[in-house]
Amino acid sequence: MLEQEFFEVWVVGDLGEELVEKLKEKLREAYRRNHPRIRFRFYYDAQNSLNFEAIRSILLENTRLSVVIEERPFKALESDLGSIGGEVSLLVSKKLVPSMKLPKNSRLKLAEV
Amino acid sequence: MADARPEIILTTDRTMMSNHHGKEFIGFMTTGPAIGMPEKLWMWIACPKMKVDSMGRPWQAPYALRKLEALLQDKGYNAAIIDPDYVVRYLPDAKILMLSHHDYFALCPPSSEWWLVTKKEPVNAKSFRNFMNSLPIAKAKERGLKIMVGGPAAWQWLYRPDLMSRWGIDTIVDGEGERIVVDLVERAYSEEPLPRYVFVGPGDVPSIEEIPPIRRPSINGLIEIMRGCPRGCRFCSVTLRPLRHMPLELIEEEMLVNVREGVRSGILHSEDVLLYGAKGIRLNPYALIKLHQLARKHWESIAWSHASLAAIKNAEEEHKLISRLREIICSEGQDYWGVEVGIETGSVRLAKKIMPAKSAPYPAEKWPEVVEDAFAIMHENNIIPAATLILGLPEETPEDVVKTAELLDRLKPYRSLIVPMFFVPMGVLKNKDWFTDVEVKDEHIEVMRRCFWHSVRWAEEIIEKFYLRKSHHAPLRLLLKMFLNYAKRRMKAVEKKLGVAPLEVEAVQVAH
Repeated sequence: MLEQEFFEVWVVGDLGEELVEKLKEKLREAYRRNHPRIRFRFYYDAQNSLNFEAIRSILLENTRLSVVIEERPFKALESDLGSIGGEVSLLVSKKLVPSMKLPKNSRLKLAEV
Repeated sequence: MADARPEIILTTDRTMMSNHHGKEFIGFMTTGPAIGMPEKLWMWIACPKMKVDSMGRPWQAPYALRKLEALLQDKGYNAAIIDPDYVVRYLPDAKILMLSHHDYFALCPPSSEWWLVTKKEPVNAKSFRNFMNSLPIAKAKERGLKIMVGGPAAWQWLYRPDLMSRWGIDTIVDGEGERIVVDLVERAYSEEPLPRYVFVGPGDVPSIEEIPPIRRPSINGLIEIMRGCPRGCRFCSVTLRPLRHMPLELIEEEMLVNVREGVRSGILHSEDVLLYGAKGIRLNPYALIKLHQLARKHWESIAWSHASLAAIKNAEEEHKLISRLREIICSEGQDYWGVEVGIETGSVRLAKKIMPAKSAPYPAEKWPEVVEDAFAIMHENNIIPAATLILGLPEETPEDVVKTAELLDRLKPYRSLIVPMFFVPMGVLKNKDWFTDVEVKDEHIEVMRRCFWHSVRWAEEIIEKFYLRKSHHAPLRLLLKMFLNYAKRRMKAVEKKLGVAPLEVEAVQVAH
């Protein structure tokens, strides 16, 4: 199942209210586009980790899609972006955008949150 | 698996790894705290230790774990279910620890009701915690052990991220596991990162061909005959999954796996056993008779896991099917069988809102009659139901609860146990003690009292004349009767304290 095609949503930054809402929007977008699966991938530095309290409200909105949640080290983002196969929505905290180097790729849809 | 030390350990705590003395319903005691007796004795009644082989592999194990064990062994992995008392023996070499549970933290009903009413933590949650704390997990994690959790209560981990961290849980798997577990195991073996959470949606559930037969016995011979349910009740997640009927060949193969190892009784498992082979909710008497003839051929006694009340009424009224199945089931020494059924509410208004198809083929307006008629049919045919009803459903009004109380009065003559459960929408679970936030109103208490007195009275007869009537059940029978007497005394004291008229004086009018 993990090798199937997913609606990819990658996230850089802390899971605040705004970001949670954005992720819920992405879930609804996947519904609208009839994707059977969605993958949320969170990039963190060593000090932080996934906030399940925050992510729970997103998961509770879903009944139809398969959902995979991954946690990746921030340092892996560059190489991950370099090897994207399909379309990826990248949600990045506004604070972090200026410091990030993002590859030019038509499959990458960047949103500042 | 050869007799090598398993690299993948599948397990759960004692409350799940037990056959409850061969009496599935006694397993419900694991959802409560010890009441009126020492916890050790309560645990012995509710979940005695399972017989194991020299490796600590249990004689019987939860069916879902057996499915995963078979799946992994079929793929060539060295995987085995290990009794919780023996897990520590294998942990130093294990690569993966897989856990499953019906109620890890006692957040599901009826555990949550027990907790609410008694203010004591139920033994299932306590036992699971003690089991996890007993394992040298930190050392094993340092060595690279991966821990995956799943089962029907997988969602509960989302409410306990603290325990995920403490016990080093790597992955939560929520949903049917057949298509995901091997992927996860492959990743763990190749030391690739594991996802933290996987929810298996309806599009990724396995086809029948992907579901392997179990290789060793399941608890009390339970065998799945269907997955999914077509009724679409709003409070139930099973209904979201596509309906799949297991072929008789697969069912027979699993019956034989149990029988060969001495498990000669079985439970047919489905959300609605009477829908086996059905088209939607249109019953298929032929398929049901074939299924039961097969069960009769291999088993000494047959039970059903769940059936819908509408299907019971429909089966008897349209096809005389309950009577026909009784002729098959109640022979060769068996004279009753048990099943779980859902009343949920006595209110037509609420039934129409939350479970409009539960009464089908009858209209939702007839729901209370459907319930009563089905109870009468079960009583006449020696089917002993353990029924649930849900309090605190969304949009419930006091009038709805009064309707439920009235329905309970009409069910008095029918042999049954009725258990009230509080509905708690997960979306509003805000803290770890969410179950203590449930607003219990006077009308809820009234329904709970009616359920209590109905159930304790009938329980005495059920224990004495049906469930535990054999001489070797005498110690268990005595202990359960002591418990019932204790519970009655406690309830009378509570009623006195609340200043409410005791319900106990109303005699049961037994239906003949």
